[in-house]
Amino acid sequence: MKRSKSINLAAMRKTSVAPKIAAISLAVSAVLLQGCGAPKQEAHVFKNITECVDINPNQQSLCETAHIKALNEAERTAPKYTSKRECESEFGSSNCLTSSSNSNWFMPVMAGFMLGNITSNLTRNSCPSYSYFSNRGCYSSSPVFTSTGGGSYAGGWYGADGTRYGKTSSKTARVSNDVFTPKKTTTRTISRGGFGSVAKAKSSWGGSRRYGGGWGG
Amino acid sequence: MQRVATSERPHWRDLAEEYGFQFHTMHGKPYWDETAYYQFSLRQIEEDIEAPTEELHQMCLEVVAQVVKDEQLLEKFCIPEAYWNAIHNSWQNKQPSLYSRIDLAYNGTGPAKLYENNADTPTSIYETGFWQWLWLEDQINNGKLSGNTDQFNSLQEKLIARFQQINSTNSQQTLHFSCCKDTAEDRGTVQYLQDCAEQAGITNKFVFIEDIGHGEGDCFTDLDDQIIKRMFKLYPWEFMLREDYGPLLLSAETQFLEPWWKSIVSNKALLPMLWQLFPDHPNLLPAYFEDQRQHISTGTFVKKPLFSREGANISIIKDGQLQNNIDGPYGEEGYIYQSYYPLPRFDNNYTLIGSWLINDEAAGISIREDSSIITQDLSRYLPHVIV
Repeated sequence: MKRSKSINLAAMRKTSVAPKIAAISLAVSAVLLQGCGAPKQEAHVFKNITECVDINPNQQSLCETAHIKALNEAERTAPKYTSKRECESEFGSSNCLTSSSNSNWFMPVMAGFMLGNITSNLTRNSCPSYSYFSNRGCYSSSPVFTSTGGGSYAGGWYGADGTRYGKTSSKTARVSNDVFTPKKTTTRTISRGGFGSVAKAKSSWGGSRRYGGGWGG
Repeated sequence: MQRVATSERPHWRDLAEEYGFQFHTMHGKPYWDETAYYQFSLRQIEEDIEAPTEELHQMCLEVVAQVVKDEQLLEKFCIPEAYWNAIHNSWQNKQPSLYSRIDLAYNGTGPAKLYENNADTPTSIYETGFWQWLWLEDQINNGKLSGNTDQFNSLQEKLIARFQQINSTNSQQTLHFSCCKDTAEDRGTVQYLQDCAEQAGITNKFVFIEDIGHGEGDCFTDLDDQIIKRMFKLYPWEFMLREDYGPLLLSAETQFLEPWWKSIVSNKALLPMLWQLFPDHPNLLPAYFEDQRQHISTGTFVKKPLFSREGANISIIKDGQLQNNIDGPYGEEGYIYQSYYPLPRFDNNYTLIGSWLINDEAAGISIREDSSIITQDLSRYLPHVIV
């Protein structure tokens, strides 16, 4: 058979409003989308506190805080699934756990965390609310995930929103500073209407036949 | 290959209303035409259309591979220099493609000939993936056609599957969809693609091209000031690169469907390049650049702008003299010449086959008919069957 075996006709009808499919993970991750145009830094990806202390000697306290904060962030922002099987099909078997905020949801295990230095030489009281103060600087941490099986998340460090930060064989990732700040979905719009002028010019072209049915071909 | 006259379903316009097919009649004239259908054998479809479509696509990819790294060719394709890197990176990074439509002249015997590749903004996908499929279901259900009548059309299933594939690493990010205002046809086409994306579990949101904003941090925003991270556009790359927000495309980090590199395939400079790389290929027509005019001084050629659509600004040249032409607003960037190979005639109509690919897989065909030899935006759309 050379044609589509079946088509969901109900979903194609326009005379009544089709119910919106509300994926669970959307509600939580709506705050995750990155802003744009932020400067970048090399961030270490630590699989555990020990690796963090190896790179940051005498910073046990910073590394422990970073780890806990990243775990909290992972709980809040990791992709959620309604079945363990679904989660494991993306992240590998035995790599998913029950969400502690809702025991009906499953999410991937946090594979590591990135530690970002927001700024240095500040006092405890002047760190932005999403960061924490340690050793005369403001820091923030971000969880990363990977698949222990196959699938599209294998071999790489991925943020909760699916952004790929580099290969698991690498100990660092090049990330924009936005990774460590609260995720924005919106930004101030400076202007509008910078696209569409060529189409407008072409449709107001006169000629013997009406033009402008559409811009496909 | 035959053209078979048949009767319209009495209720088809009500059905169109029910399923949101609003542009079935345009400017008072029929566009969707079910007073006849075309009939093919399975061999004709598989050997003469499906296989050559996939082969032609691979040949086009070879052209892209050559052009993206060659400044002289990029200039010949009239791509502004500021965007050369972006196009090159888009190809190197293998940014995914959703679909293309290759236009073929084919009469049932002999190799189909490539007219052009609508690789950036192909239209008629709704009529093809859904509406003509529904027509066949109806004809089988009401006994007009036998139960084992088939159609070369797995477009909708493949579209949904491809959306799922493209989405796999971005599962929670909104995919914006965009087209111009004031065109029911484009809005209907985009709605269809949104419907497919919805069935693939993708959060989708519509914004008109003219409403897209410049967000702080040099990105694009929709009317809710939401950052546009990935966007399907039914709007040509060659327009965007020449508009005020063109330079923003370089900083915005927005992923597009179709991706940057497809703009090389939709450019008619593709045609002389194909002829250079694959001369005498059975599915190709000889084609030449302006600077190869020695080849067109005798014989009949079709002169086509690098950037044009739906037959606009096409003219036919015989032995160097203009024969007929279609008006239009295109041609600024120059032209190519393709050997004249007329469309086949069925009754009083010239018939063009649009052969679709979803990514690199042949997925189905659409049929357009016109009393004029040059297919245009008002050319009628007819269904087909395989028997």
